[in-house]
Amino acid sequence: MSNNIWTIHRLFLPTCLIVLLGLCSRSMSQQSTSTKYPDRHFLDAAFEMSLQHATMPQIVQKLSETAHLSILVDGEPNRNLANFKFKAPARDLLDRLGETFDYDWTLTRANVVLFRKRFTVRGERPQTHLKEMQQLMKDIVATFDLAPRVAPGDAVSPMIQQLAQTFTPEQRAILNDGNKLSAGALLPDQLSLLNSAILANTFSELEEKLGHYAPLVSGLESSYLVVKEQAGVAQTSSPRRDYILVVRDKNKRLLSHYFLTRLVND
Amino acid sequence: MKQTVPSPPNKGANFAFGICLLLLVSLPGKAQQISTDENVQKLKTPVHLNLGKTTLAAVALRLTEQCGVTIEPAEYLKEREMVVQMDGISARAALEALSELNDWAWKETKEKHILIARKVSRLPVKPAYIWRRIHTALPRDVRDYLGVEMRAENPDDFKNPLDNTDQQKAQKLEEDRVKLFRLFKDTQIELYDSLPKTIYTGEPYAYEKMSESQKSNLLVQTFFPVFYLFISRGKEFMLGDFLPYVHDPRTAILGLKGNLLEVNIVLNVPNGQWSAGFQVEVH
Repeated sequence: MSNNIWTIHRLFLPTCLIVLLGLCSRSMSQQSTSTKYPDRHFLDAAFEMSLQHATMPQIVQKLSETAHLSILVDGEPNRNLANFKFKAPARDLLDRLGETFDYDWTLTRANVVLFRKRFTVRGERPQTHLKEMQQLMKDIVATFDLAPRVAPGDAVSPMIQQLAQTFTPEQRAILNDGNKLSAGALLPDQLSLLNSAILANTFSELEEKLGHYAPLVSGLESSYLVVKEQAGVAQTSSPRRDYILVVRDKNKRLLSHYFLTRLVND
Repeated sequence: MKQTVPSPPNKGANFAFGICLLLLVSLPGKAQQISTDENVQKLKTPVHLNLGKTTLAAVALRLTEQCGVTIEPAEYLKEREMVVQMDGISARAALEALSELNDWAWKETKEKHILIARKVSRLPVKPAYIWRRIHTALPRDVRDYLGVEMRAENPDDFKNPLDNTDQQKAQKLEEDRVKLFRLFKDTQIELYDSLPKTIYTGEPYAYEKMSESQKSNLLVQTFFPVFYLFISRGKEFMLGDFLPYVHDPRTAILGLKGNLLEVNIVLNVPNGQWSAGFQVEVH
């Protein structure tokens, strides 16, 4: 018994410490910009900067030189040019730069300033590089391979039908009386069927859609777009353009195609 | 009728697992092991990377030239764009900054050779962890764009989807859905309007002939529907967790409404109970 208590204490104390450290590191990154990094006094030094019609890379370069800061920015902002004229502490200049171009900033342990996009401005979007997206799609498909294979369409239905046919008279009576039946009270085979139905209900649509989009992304380099115009169906309706993205493999075999439709007067 | 009594969860193992995950998340990009003292010293070399707008491949090349250790990004990361003004810090600090910016990891793959790549999910390979593995796979900026928070807790601690504290997240989810749809439409219009007139005569327009912006817009058209699908799964995706019956079917409750067999879970929420699930017509 005393051994157990000792073991609990031995595990509990370092664990508390780790949890506290983890929470501290998280709360640091969630602080509002005005109170960010109060212990990093180099951010309190004031600098003057004045740039007209400057791009973010130009402002970053000037700020880096003026305030002797190492700065790393993800991507490039959608907004192109800005006027940047301020005399303020470095932390305020960083705040202003972030506000101007829709970025948040943090510091690394070595005091490198990291700027990441906030995505609060329309038109801002993550970087989209083909190889990275192809790798991501591979990872997503591989992850969904962990899910049980389910046939497309109504795979859930036959499994639930089968489950219903295996109900015992007692189970049937519970359900027919309008009462609920806990799955914990099912027989092992019934529970297995229910489990399969739940997983199919959860994953089948995702698997189907991934099966459609994955070949498009992986074969995009060998794809081409064609447009087919369709006359309006009714007198009042606009003619339609079908943009068809065709993806073929090296042997010209059709891997996938994708319709993007647009009304001509859209 | 046989009663199946749910076995109690293994609290000790779950707790230890949670701590391991917390450690993994709390210490991003730290404690990289370098095999030789020589390389440790080389990574202490002060570097001067005043590159402005550049790519990860170019940064890695300059780092290599300046510190003498070959530093290479994974093939799929080479085109990542960034603005780099890092001066007088060690090569190691630069590597750590690059990794931290995008939640990448760097490691020595062979002597004098360092690879920058995406972090690999260390979660166990089983269906219950699917969303969390996907969260790990998403590039950091995509995750930020979709408003996905990395959750490291034990997946058995299912967070109630209707918890009041999550109402803001529900609103954010709806905003993200609108944002994503808008991006899809904007890029579609941009792509259509930029196509050459010859395409309307029936002539195919090959990807290899497209401009960089057309390629990028086409990629959004083919990939972002997947993100939209994820977001459509709502809180399940955002919280990185499935409804409890996916983890343990014994938590499901069966009911019969007419000839519909309902499979639900019932969750206690601050103002009562909430149920979710699906129903199938049975004969």
